[in-house]
Amino acid sequence: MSSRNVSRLIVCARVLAVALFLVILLFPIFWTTTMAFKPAEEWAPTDGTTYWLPEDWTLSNFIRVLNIGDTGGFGGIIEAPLDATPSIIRSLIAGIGGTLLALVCGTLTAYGISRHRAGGRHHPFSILQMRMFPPIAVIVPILFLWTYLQLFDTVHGLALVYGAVTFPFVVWLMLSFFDEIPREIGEAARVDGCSRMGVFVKAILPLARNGLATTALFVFILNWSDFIIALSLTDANKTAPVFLNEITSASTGREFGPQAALGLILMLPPLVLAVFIQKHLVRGMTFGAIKR
Amino acid sequence: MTDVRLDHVSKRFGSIQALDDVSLHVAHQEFFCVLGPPGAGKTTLLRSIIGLEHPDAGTVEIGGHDVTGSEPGKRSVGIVFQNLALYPDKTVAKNLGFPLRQQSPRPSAAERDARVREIARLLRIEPLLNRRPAHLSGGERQRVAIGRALVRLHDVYLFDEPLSALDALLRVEMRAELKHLQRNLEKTLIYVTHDHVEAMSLADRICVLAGGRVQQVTSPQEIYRRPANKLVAWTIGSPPINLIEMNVVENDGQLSLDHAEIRIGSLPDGTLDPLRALMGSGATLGVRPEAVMLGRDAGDSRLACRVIAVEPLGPETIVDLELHGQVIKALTPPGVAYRPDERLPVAFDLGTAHIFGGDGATVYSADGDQSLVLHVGAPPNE
Repeated sequence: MSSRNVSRLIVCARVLAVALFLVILLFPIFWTTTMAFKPAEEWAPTDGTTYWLPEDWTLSNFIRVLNIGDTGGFGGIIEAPLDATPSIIRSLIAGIGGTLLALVCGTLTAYGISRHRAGGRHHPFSILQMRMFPPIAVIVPILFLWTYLQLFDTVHGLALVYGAVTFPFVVWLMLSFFDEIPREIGEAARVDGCSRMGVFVKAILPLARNGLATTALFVFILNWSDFIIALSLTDANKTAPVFLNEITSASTGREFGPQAALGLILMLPPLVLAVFIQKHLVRGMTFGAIKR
Repeated sequence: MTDVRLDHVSKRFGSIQALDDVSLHVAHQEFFCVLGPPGAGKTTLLRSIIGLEHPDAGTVEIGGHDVTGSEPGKRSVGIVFQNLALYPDKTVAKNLGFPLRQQSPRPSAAERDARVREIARLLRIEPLLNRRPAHLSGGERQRVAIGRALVRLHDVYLFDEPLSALDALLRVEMRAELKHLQRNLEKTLIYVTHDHVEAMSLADRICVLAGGRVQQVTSPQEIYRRPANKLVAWTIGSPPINLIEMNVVENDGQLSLDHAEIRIGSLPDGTLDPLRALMGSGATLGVRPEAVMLGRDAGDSRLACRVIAVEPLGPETIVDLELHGQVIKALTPPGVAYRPDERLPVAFDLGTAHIFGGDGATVYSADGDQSLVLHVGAPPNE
């Protein structure tokens, strides 16, 4: 085989590998999206037909999962009422609350470590060690504690755990951003008359805002998509992912249509947030890669 | 009166003694240069004055008030950092306005704006007010950094090697501007540099700092003519002073400095006692490159040296010569083409020579006194 043929073969293999990767990556999103718009007859066909695309586009899954009207039932059977709205609101509150908590505590901690080596040389690593085991490993003691503190099955109880679990990520991400900012900028601000907190708020934080935006998005996605902690620490007050998992009915078993519809809805907030902070995101993700 | 006084200030970082018992007095409205090699403790000295570093021992006084423990923002001292430390996310106008916003009571927006414009006009950066530091040239950034220090009316301004990041041409230009600026400001200015030309051209007085210790504080003329020790002499001047190790010898009651090829005789009376104490350990003869004369300029000197290298600089030429295994640098007028490996007559103008003792301290500076006599050839009794 000539070297020309070999290089063609390599190109072909590369294209195939990328294509395969894309299919694995994108197919679930495709399937969820199309399923959300299929009527029950198509997402649960009785005759074994596979509907790649909805033949009869409908919004009934959204109407049903958000409880905003009458879907007309499924095959004449009256459906049990569904309403995901409260769980979405709870998810938003717990997710945003936990993110803010982690950002405030984590950013201050990272700044202290970056500027003053607070806690000693091994402090950053010991903070990261908090994430060396899965949170589920300590969920049972937290469950007891939360029950005792009357935080079980509450949104703010969940936000506290989310804040604690994502705190190490914030510290580690922000630490690298703060380390990039020259010491003299903080010193200049002190000479210009800022208090120590003023230095942080007025001089350092504006410089780290790209990093802060990137970190916020990352942490929010973690909290928003949490399933296992919410499953353990809530009962009646479920969050959206837990609610999604429990959409079943006696007649059809799992209700894939409404599940897909809610799944699609759950994709929106991180997407909206990402678009909102996109300007910062691009710079945040390349921060430190290039010597300025 | 805003003078700055450091009294027995010491500062140690781990095993490094950055400042070692430094005492200084900078007078009101003086342009004071701190000159020293890298690592001499110059920056630590400035940081102690402004309050970013707290000395382990000693006190810092500004305008008669002890400020040793007070916050940097409360000292009425402005600083231009070595790496400028502009706020990269803020425009030039915001950079200049930032110190004013932190003032209490805070001036009104109109007052702040007026002050920013005034400073921008002074430094000729008015057209740049809406740009960010990333879109400025080196010289422009430099001016913004100076402007940010000047925008608040302080009593003392500190400059930490402010010109070191600029290219040679801009450095000379900014140097002249700084000197002009200081005359207009009528403020006390402390300027740190490792460049002796900068120090000589700007300063009312120069302090040479090395190893965290003050070596000498005096006027530029004086520091060149009468350096306190070998280190100061070495720091001032480019190329640096030639240092030739000599033996102190006494023959028939006559003291002289001997070297394999030369002998310095007719030592002045004042130097005899200290030199006699150095018999056995030796002394150092310091001859500046500009006092080494070559070829025709050397007259009928019997001393001949081999040329090692020639560096024509335009207005002058540096010639490296070999004197008994040691390199001696000569600064000569242009116009004569010297060739490597040729042997040339060499003479020293001992009217500007220095003699340093074993500990480096100056024993004798000729300073125009022509009493030293150079004899050439191996000492007769050896």
